[in-house]
Amino acid sequence: MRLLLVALTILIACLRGMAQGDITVTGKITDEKGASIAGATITEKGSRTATTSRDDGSFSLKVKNRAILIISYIGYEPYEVAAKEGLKIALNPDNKTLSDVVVTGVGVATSKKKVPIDVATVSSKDFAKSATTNVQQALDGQIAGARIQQSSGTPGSSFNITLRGVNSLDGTQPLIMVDGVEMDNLSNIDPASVDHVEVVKGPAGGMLYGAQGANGVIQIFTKKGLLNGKLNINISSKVSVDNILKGKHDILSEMHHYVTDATGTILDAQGHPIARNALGIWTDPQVPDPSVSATLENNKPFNIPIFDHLKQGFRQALTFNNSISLSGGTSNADYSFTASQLNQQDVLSNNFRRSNLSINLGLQPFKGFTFRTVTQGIVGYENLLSGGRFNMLNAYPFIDFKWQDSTGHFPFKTSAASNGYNVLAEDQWHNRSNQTFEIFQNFVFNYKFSRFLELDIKYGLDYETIDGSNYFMNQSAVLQPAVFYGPSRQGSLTNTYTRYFNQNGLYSAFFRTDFQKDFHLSLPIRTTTQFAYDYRKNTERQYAAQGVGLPAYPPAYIGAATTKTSSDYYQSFITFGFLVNQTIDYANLFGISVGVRSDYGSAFGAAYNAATFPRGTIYFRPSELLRNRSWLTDWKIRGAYGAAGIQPRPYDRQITLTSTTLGNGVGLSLPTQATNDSLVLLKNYELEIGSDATFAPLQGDWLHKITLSGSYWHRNSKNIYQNASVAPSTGYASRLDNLSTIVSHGVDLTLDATIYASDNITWNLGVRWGYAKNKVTKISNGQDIVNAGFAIKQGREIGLFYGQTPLHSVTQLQLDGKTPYISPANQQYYAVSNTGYVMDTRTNMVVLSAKNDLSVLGHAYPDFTSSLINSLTLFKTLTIGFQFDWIHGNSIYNMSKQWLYKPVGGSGGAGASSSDFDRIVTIGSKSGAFVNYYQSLYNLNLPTSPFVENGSYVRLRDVSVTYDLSRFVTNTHAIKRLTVTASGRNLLTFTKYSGLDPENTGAFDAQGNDLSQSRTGAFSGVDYFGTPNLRSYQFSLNVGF
Amino acid sequence: MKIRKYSLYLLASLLLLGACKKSILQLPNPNSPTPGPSLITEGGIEAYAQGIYEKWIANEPGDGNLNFFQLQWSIESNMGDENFSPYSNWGGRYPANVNTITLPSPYNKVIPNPSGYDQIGILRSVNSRVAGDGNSIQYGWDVFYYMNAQANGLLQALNNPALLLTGDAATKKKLLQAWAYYWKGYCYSKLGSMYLAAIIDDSPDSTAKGLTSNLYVSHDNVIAAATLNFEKAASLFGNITENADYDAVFQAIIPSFNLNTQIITPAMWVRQIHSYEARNFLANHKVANMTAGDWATLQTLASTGLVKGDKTLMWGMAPGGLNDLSGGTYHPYEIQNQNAALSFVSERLIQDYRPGDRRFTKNFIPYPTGPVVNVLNRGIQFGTRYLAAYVENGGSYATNNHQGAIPIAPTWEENTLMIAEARIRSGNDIEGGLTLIDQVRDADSAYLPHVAGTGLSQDSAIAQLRSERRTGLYMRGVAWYDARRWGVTSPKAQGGGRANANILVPGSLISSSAAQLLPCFMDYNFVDYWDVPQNELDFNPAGAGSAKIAN
Repeated sequence: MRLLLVALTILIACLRGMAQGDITVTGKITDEKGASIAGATITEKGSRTATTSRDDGSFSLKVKNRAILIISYIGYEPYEVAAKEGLKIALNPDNKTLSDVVVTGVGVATSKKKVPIDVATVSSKDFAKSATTNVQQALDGQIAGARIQQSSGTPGSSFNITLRGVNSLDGTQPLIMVDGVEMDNLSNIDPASVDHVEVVKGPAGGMLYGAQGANGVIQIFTKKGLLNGKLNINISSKVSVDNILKGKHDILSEMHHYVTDATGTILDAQGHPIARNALGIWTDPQVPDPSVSATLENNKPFNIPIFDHLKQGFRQALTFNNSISLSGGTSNADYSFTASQLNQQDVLSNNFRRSNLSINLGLQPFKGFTFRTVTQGIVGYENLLSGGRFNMLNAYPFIDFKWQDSTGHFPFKTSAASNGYNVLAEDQWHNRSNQTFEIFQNFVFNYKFSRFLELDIKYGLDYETIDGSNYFMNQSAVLQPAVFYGPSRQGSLTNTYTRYFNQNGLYSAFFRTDFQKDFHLSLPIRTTTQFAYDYRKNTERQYAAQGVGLPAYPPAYIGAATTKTSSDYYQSFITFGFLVNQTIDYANLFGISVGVRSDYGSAFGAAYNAATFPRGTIYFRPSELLRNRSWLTDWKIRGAYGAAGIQPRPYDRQITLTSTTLGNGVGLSLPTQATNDSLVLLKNYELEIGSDATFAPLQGDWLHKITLSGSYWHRNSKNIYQNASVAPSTGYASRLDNLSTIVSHGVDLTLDATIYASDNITWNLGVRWGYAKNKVTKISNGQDIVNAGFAIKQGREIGLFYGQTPLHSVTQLQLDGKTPYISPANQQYYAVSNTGYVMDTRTNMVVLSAKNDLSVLGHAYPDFTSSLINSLTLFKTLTIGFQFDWIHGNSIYNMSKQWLYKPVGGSGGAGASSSDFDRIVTIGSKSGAFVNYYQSLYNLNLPTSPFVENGSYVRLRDVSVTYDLSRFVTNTHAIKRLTVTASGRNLLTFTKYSGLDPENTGAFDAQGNDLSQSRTGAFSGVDYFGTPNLRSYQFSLNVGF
Repeated sequence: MKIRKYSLYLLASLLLLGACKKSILQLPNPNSPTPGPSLITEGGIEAYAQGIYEKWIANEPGDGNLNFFQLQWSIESNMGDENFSPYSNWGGRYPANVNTITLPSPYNKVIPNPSGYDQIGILRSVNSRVAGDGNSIQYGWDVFYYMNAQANGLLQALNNPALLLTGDAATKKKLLQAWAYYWKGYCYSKLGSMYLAAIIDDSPDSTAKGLTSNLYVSHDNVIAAATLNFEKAASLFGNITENADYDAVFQAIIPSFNLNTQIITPAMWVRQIHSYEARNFLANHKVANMTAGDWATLQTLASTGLVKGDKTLMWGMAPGGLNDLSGGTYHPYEIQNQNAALSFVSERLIQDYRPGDRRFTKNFIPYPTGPVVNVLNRGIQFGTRYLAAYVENGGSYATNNHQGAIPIAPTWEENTLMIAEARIRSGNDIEGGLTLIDQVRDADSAYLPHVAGTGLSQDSAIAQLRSERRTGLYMRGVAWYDARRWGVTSPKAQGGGRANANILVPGSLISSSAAQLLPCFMDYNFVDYWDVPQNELDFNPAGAGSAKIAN
């Protein structure tokens, strides 16, 4: 580190030495209210001489005599002024979103005023203050229509990103790009190195990305220095205190229904009081047989201590995040370095660490030529254990997880017949870790000829290695004789080494004309013709070795194991494509573009035929014709049509045999999940129509700027990849196929307004709202796509929960519409309870519809997603910000709760009941917390309607208070800026959902198998014992030098 | 301006680097062989023959490395009430959903199954794709069709003229063909003995096209197809003799952990096939309906069956559960251990041991953490006082350390007991039958006093036979067939059920604080043959002329 700093200092000194000028201009930049603007760019017109304003807004620049200065700052209109001493310049705010320049989806930097597609831009200064660990958190809620779901509080866990509805059964992961080239893992990017993010949500916008672009694009732009910029050093330090979200509802019952003696002591099957032996194993409580005790109620208090297992299992975690950035520039070079370290404790176990070094260097060795290199070095380490909330919630309440046996260890088994272990025990015998090293390198060569032609080459490589180790200690010394973690009581060690190497080259040529300048015509027409060639190659290599049966003494290494096995894997994928695109702009009034991209890919199949994606856009700006309307600052109408694709997985189209080591030999067999050599490329066709407008409704302090942006989109997704079930008699369980079509549409709306702005108060408000509907219009084999509780049915919305429902009427008819479920003679024994379910009054059990009489119980996708972002600055020093996210209309399948409806006690060790068991049910004249009522709803863990809940929520995602202490330190020379921030994340949640966290859902079946990669239409929305998101309190300090 | 020149050269050369050729797209999967080149080599075809075992681990979407063969094996064990599994994982407990249990006097209570279902009810409720892996009856269907398809592919590959076999190529080819026909016979035997109807599919084309016949034939016709394939195998085995090449191929097609050095000679194969045909005949005839002619048929079939000393197909484990078919859990012996505790020994098996049988003391120990009672409150039949002793501790039927091997095809003991049963039940030669029982017991080190020559009545002899089949053939895949054909699993109303079945009755049912072992009446009420699974019917509905596919 020290060496690096020395090198940096020398480099900066050298670069600074090159600056030169004639006269020195000084001045001060303020906003329209007179507040200093730090970081505004002051450029000498016609040259590359430039500087940035200091924290007090002041600047000093050597320029040629009689030079014109251009002052620019993001969010403000550029200002031109003749160079002179003692300038005082007040910048006028520009429309927040329309002033930016975007490149994503349009190929070439285009003023947002003329962008014909919906591109969302999020500047790092708008990132929620509490988003400390990754870019996804920072984007959450910032983009209309995009749903960025953090589905777990475990550090480093992935996010479900849905930019615009559902395109496929493959998930909705968008293309991730960093400074123009593809990068694999967004989670590894350090938010401190990010300048801004552009998001293009759909194929109409992501039209330049061909077979990569169907799920939209998120492009990260890393921080750059400024030509002639002064050295700017910024140090930031954050600490966060994290606890899991527990919701407002109790999860577990406080009462029980075990067999007790007269004193209320719980008895085991032998009639003895339950007790824990020296090995930490409790005897199992005896439970009255529910089949012969209809009136059994869950109404007995525990007369022994009980423990909050969530509290015992989850801890309070601390997260530290420190970063330092240096940036600046000379007359022909700019530089920006950011180094940061994240150290995040997990609420369940151990740690996640990530160190990032980001270097962005730009050089302009001669006029027209720019060379830029962006390097991201990432070193990661995590030794998290996945553990399980399942065992926390399913253990008997009287089990003390913190009890240790005579050897100081936590016992594995907690009750005699339990196969759910104490979650704290694993950490004592199991060490695993992943060490990640990633280099993301991006080179950009750009040459602008004096006229017409620009050449641009981007080449990026993303090299990542993951060194994994999974070590189960020799557990011979464990007191419990038969149980162990891992494959063997004698322990095991598995080491894996995985290398990913992805390359992306993008070679572009732009041919531009300006009819006025180049051809001296009076027509204000400018044209751009873009030719591009895009090449991507991804490889993955893995080696794994495992040793089972380790010595009881250290060290553990595979060579010492009694049985050793190994394996390897290699995967490669190449795609390349050609793009030609023609853009014509007529002044600032309107423009059109048309283009086509043709892609080839190694996964396209035996013929390697090209896939072709047409595109076209148009925009028109009525505001150009309505210039005298003072209330209308800007208005654009736009439309775009584009096609894009999703690649098959690398070997989806190759017919191969499965090869497996069996003993000393190898077995070859037909794969059970068949590939398909006639699989065709999935394609989306999208139309997007939108409008962006900026108004100035009032002239005073209130509401002098409102920006409104909206898009309607409609999309046809054809040839959806599906791991389609087939008749097993064919020898296959499933076959990859293109059977379905999804038609989607939606609306995204963005509103940004300055509600109030005066000398001392600035109040900005942002609203994001988006809705999407996705319908499967065709499944060509006519069969519902069914996987666990998920179903996809022709003509219905995507992401359905599908299952049985309790009868609601004693006379309810079966599916045939004729036969009553309950024969008329027996109907006297049945009644509708106060919960609306038909119950057998003899057994107190609920009657459910037949297994072939299923209903749609809900859907995993919300009707809309929205957020409200507010920022209030008082006296230029105190900024209060908050963000509410509102997700509405989705359902959650609460599988965690259904498991807690299962019978408890007895041998087998299932220990705890849902808190619902304490609730009184009334049937006719009978009332009670009937155990049979609840257990009958367990319904063999099959999808059943009472477990589908309203998943809507409003969450206070972020709240922050920042105080600028700069004025107390500006008289010191070293420190220019000092701010302190206190923030909170996920502090409040308003929801009817009864689980811990409505965001903590995924695609799971009843056994917790992850179905998200199964291509069977299983989507998010199942709560299966995950680690909930975190409620965090943060404190951060930011110092600028 | 040099820098400018070089930069432009660099730019130009980088542009050239971007040149593209379609040939770079040819990226074959380097991790998996392709069928064409691999199946014309001797090593490839042998590996493909061994791959029949690999189909046990089905790798269906979302199921990971579940062993479907094991699931079906255990489910049949549970239906035969030699083991029990109280868990719903993969629908494990549903097929053994006992209807009612009646407590003895003075309690006389009828305890219904807490699931609220009878067996067919619960099986119907999960026989859908919505039930996912909770559909218990899909596993047997799936795995035997996967194996059948692999065997069809093997036969096709063996007919490829490009296939090159070295040495005694004729013997090798016949062994491999016989292997394929044997497994087809095996699959049809399992399907025909379990499902009401199934499909006969002998064409590799159906796999290639993803389309099989929609003609479902009755279970008897499926057994006939089994016999047809078994006979083809027997005929091929009858034409070869064991030699070094035979042994080499034999060892190459059977995984090493399955005891592949115990060579099954062609003659042993033929005898095993005859034993299997006898098993199929016995398993699919109800004793109550069997005529003297049926018993004679059985005796004829078994008379050419396995003899003492014959080897049979085994399923073992590798150390660490690595690279074997158990994956560290999915072997019938492993799921019984106290760690997995997925499967338990039934008290109804324990009570079938004769007093003094040393196999009992050798193989069972008291459950170390005390008796297991009414696991998860899912039915009082789910209770036991015993744990199978681990192989590593001298036992035979369980392991905590990947040890032991289980026969997955008939053994000479089974064959001998089939002859004994024919002799006793037909009434022709009760003493002869008892002599055979004594032979089996002696060979198995039971150290029981001989029953032959003690003047036992036919009923007592039948009791001895039942006891020996239950205990001597424990976990050999026949308990369910026996329970069915003896009428034990028929509804009580039709004379079925088991009287004096030992149940560890929870104290709460008998006004006691402690559980007690009581002789109860168990009304199993199982269907004889399962419905065809819906995951087949959804994609292959029964065509005209199909046999009955649902109860």
